[in-house]
Amino acid sequence: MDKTVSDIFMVLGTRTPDIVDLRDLEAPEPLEKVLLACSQLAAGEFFLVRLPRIPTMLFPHLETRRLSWWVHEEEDQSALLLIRSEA
Amino acid sequence: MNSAMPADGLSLNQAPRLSVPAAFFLTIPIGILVAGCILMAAGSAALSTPWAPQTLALTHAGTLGVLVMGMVGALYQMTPVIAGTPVPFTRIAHLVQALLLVGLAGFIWRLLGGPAFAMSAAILCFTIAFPAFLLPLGWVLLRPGTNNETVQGMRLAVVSLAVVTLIGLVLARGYSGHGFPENRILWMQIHLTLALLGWVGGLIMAVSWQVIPMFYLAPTVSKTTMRCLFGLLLSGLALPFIAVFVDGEIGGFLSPVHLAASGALPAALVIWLIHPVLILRIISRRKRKRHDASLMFWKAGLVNALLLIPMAFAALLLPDPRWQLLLGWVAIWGWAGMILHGMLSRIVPFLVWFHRYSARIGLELVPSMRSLLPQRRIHIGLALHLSSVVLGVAAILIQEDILARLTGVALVATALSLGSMLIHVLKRKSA
Repeated sequence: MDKTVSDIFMVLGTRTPDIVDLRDLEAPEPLEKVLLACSQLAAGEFFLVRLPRIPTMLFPHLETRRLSWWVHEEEDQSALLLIRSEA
Repeated sequence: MNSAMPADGLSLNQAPRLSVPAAFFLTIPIGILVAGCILMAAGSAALSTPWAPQTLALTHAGTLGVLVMGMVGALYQMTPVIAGTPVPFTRIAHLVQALLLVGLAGFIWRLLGGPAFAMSAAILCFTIAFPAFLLPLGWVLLRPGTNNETVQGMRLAVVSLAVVTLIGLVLARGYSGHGFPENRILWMQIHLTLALLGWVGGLIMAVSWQVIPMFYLAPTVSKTTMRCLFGLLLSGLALPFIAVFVDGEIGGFLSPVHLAASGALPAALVIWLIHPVLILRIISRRKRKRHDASLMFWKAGLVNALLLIPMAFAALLLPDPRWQLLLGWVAIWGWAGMILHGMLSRIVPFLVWFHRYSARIGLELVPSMRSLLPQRRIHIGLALHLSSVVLGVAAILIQEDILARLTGVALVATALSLGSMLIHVLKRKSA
């Protein structure tokens, strides 16, 4: 990846959260892990995860839980997903 | 998406309720049960010539009662997720299903000796049901902006189904007292080609590109490969229509039926050779080789697919009708039916888990998807399904009545196993 995470997700500013790599998990384990992690996020905190593909079925859940998210698809069809817990 | 952006996701109310695909899936065991009963009652009469009414009844119990039910249910579920747009008028899905069931009952009744009006009623039901399914779905799939390779494959499958239905309805009129069309055998050849390679094959191929990497952690197929396969498949589905404009034999030996079958060769190569080899190869290169019984259905179905091109050549070139029957049996039950059975073993627990438990993750303890369906149940289904395929092959080759009836028993057992598996998973409550 040529760009840094901060270049891709400008909302991060100078922050560089660790990337949790869930590409080696089969469905629906990535969805399960992301929702579990999101339930533990403090307000304003970010969660950055690399997934095997754009997680279409996860988005309704993020919406229901009032989380903000940004997604970036890589050349290999994997996806970087940034989630922020709102106040 | 090339740059980071807030995702324009599905809202929960865009995806259909679980009851929509579940209702279609629950009738699949009934289709298998009917096929089993036809074989138990008719014995080898249903497996001796492809033209016998019992054989046509058996075939359509498999195609309309099993494959169409599974694929229509899956399309209602998958299309909003893959195309990013909800299917309009999903509420009529249950009407579509009821019409398909009544139509199939009339169709089979007529072929097993019922009155001509049973076929007229079947034609009426299908004439309403298929457009009621195809038009809303086609509207979503043909929208600009939804153009990934899986959507292209789904479009091809759906267009094929529309043409298959049209030809099928014209052919079915022959059993309602209106006479068969001219060139009946040629139109049957085109009907078969589009049904097996376009509708069933196109959808299996498009779905495999999504589900094999997603559920089994296999590498993805490159977009270039997908596009090449799609182009070849498309040409193989269009070329058979040239035969419609040909009068008589070409060169004194190539009849329009042979011409139509030859035109389908690119499609057959894609669906019954290249695609199975490709998917078996990516399955062998999985990142985490976790044992999964549902994957064994895929492997068995794909290996069976590799037998189909030699069988198709034999069916076309040799006078022995057993080759045509063998091709139909292995294609419908050994390849497509096997893959469908495996997909149900994986997709239904996933859907139940997604609809009933996923919203509560992180808020309370929820069961894992794998715990919803014990692997043992899937293994039993696989053993029964494989036994019925092998028995059917033996019954066709040996032409022993008892073997045909035993195949019927194996089909009934497979239906009961699949039905109990589906009920076991679907009855899991969220509370």
